[in-house]
Amino acid sequence: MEALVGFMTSGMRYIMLAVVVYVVLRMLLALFFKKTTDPVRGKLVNTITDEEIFLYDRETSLGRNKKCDIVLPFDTISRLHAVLTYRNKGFVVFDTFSKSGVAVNGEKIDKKAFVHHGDTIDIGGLEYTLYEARYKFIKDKSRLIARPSYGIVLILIAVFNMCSLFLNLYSDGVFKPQIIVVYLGFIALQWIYFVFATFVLRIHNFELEMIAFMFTSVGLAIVGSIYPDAVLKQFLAIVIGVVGFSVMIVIMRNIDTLKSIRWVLAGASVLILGATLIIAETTNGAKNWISLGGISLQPSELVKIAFIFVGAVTLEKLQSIKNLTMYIIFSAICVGELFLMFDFGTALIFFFTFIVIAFMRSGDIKTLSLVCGVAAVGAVLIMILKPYVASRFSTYLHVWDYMDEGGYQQTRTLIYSASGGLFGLGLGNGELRNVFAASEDLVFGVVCEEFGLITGFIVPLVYGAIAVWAVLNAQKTKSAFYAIAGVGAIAMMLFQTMLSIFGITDLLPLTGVTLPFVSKGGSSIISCFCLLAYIKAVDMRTFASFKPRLEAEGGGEE
Amino acid sequence: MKTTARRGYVVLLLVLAVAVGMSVLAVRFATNGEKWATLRANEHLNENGSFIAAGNITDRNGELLAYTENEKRIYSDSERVRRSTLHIVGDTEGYIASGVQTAYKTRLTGYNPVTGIYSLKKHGRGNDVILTIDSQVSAVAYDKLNGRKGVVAAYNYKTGELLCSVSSPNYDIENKPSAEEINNNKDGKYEGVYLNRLIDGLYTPGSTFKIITTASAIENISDISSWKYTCKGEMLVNGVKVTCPRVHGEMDFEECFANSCNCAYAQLALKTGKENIIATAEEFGFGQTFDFGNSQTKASILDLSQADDGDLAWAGVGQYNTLVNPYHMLTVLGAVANDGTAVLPYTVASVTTPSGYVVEETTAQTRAYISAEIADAVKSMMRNNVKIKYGDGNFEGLSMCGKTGTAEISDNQTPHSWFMGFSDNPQCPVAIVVVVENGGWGSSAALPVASDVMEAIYKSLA
Repeated sequence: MEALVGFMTSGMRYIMLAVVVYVVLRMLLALFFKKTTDPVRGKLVNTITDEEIFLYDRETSLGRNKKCDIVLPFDTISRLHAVLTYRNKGFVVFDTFSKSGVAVNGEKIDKKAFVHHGDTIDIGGLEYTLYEARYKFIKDKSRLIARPSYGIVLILIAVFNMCSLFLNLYSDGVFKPQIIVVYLGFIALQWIYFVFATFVLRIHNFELEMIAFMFTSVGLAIVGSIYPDAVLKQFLAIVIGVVGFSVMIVIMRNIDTLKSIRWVLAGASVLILGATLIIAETTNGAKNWISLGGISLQPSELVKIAFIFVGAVTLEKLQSIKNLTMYIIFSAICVGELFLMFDFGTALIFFFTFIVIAFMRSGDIKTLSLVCGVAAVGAVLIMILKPYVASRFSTYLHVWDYMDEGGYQQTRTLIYSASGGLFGLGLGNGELRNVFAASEDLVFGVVCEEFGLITGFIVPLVYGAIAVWAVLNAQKTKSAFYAIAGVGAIAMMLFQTMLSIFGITDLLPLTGVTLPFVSKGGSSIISCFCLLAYIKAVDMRTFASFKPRLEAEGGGEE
Repeated sequence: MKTTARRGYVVLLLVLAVAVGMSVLAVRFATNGEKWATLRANEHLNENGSFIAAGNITDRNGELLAYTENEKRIYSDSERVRRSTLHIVGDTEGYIASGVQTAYKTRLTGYNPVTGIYSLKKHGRGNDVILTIDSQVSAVAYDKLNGRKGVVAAYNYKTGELLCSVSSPNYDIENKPSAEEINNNKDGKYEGVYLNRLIDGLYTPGSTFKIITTASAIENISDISSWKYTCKGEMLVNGVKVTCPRVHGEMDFEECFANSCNCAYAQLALKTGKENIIATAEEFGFGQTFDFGNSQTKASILDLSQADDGDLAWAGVGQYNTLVNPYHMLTVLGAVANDGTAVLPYTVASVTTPSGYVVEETTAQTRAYISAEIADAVKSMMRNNVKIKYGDGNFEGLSMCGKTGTAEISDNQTPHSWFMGFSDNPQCPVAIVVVVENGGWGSSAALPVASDVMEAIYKSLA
């Protein structure tokens, strides 16, 4: 009997590794090689030349500037003259402070006006008629890679979780009933989401969710092994995260309602971080945890969701730098508050995300360079004025000289990661788990030691691959909001991954941030699932079924 | 909208940074993984700073010299064996750097870059090491040294297997004296106790160096067989006096070697010439180091660059500033015994996983020193030494060849006592080096040790 258990235990590490490798590779392939459809929302026809302009995007910019979606190289046209947006109610044209103005059906408009089929739009003397267009351009790369069976993927992830259940149930020789509840519950949650999303949300592609479930499974295996008492809490956070993800998918389908709540969210973010600064007690050198009625949470994790949102809602003011000022002020306050909490890792993550979003909104390298410069000077000043801040990073690049002091976590991470080899020692057989913050900041090391370097390295590489995919597909979202939110969210996640892994392996200074989806922490996992909803927005198929349906008449043009 | 999306390409820089960083990390794990995983801080392998994860270490006859039980390292139950094998087996704290437990640490843990230390976790112990040492012979050598400092080392000059290697002073690893006791000891009881004198030792060779001078004379003086010398007890070279303990009278070359006549060898060194002596010594491996496990031996030194004729005369009899390493001397014997080519001694026969898979098996290295003719000529003269001087009765059945040495070290110290020899019996192809520090005459201190150890080896091989 003992031999059988031993055999199963040693065999399981290969099963778990095989599941992780297969699931992420299969999902990435499906993500990159997929069938996409490009619906046409309408067309503009020049009243004199009969030139046709097809409108694919939810926002189309018109102007003399070459960066506009439709370039009109005439003297009467302003650099950015107008933006034509497509909403559920129809087309709306915005006059973006043009000199010669915009007119609809001969009437000069003030800021914005609805445009209906058959209406004429006058843009600085050029006259166009808006027509309904009924085409779908289909790009079909699916011949290369067959559509995956998500059922099989879910079964494989369930196998992984059953392995976790088996290995964690009797660890330390103590029977732990909550282990059964959590792992079976997690498997059930995945299937419930799958059915719900298929039939209610009408989502038909689940690559990102499957990858998230896979990494969450790795994290949950570790939490159940090291902290069996905390595993129930972690599972509840995952449930909240998946619910939050679904809610956000629904909310984001209606872009029009989004605009109105952005100032509310911005204000709330500033206030929540401010409140945290006041009421939080210092834990492990940072004031970033608050306790409410027995539930402790990390507000900065939840503010991440709002931070991306506020940055991405820019809609009609495309390419205009004038709306950047308020965003800079908002971001500066958030980053400043995080800095005062001594949560430098999160402050850096917010700052980096701000730069990405602000650049996507404005392309204003000059202003952003200035902001970076100011931030750098500020950081240096703080290091000089408060030397103990700098002293936190003093072991950077010298961890082996301070093995048992400041470099303890980093050196142990390297030692035990190397001990694991490519395939790991098996769940529960590690030593790094005994080091402080093993399942949070050091979780990359625990994954490497117990699941192997292959699994450990897969995590950042998969986030990197998703980022590449998001960037390449941002344009297909047909909306600046989806593009900015999706790219911003994956950039935030990837940057955090980089800080986490490179920090504990001494490639970067140690800032102590979590590894998305894998680290223990309720606030963190909820935040990760909600951020995933933004990334999901890049996947235009998410909202395909919800758009006003257009009959496919024309053929598939490439 | 399109421009907005296109600006997102800036995030590819972040992807690039992550890819570069992960590549750097991968390279570091590949190159440093072994070093990191076997650090003392790794608690898979170490308990309170002691290396407990090693597998079993056994001698050539399968006798356990060290193993781990209940996360504790346990050694042979005989104190004689523990002490005599201390420097070969080594300690778990890494003080004895050349010991197998330190030098073979990585291989003992069973670490490899693909599976890490999984084998260790699975079997509860790392890889096993089988040594070439015979622990019972080593114990005899330890007894015979009788607490005196020095080295006893014997090896099979055909295969390279080190059969016996005892370095003194040593301590009982199961009752290790405290670090303060070792460091603060004033009477020299623990002088260089962490060093294996076989590989780290450098001694004045005394008359054993005459083996080199003899070889050089044979090589460079064509009529050496008809050469004769009359010893008057002392001789003046360039104002420097070379002395013999007694007046030897007229002798041929063979008798000069057997009587170990200093005056004759001073004369021979001058006759052979400085350059030729240096050349022969270099042919014999002077100035070279040898790999022993993960350590390197000290190189023997013959530096005649500042030497005048008086110095050359003393160098010819093994004094002056010449220093030799006992391991190197074993190879010199090996070359003389084995037609001029030395098989290099080694002590780790094989490394196997707990499931029996052989990870590593040592194949002996060789170094060609001199021609077979010269080796045979030197061998027959060394055989003659035993026949007419040291007595075959001391080495029964072995057809022993040998040379003693009495190395003067300073005016007020008793000389080091040397014996270097080998058995020409094909049943027992073993060479032995014995150094008894401050032991006095080679024939009175080192020779009896060699006699008893060779007898033990002969019995063990029978």
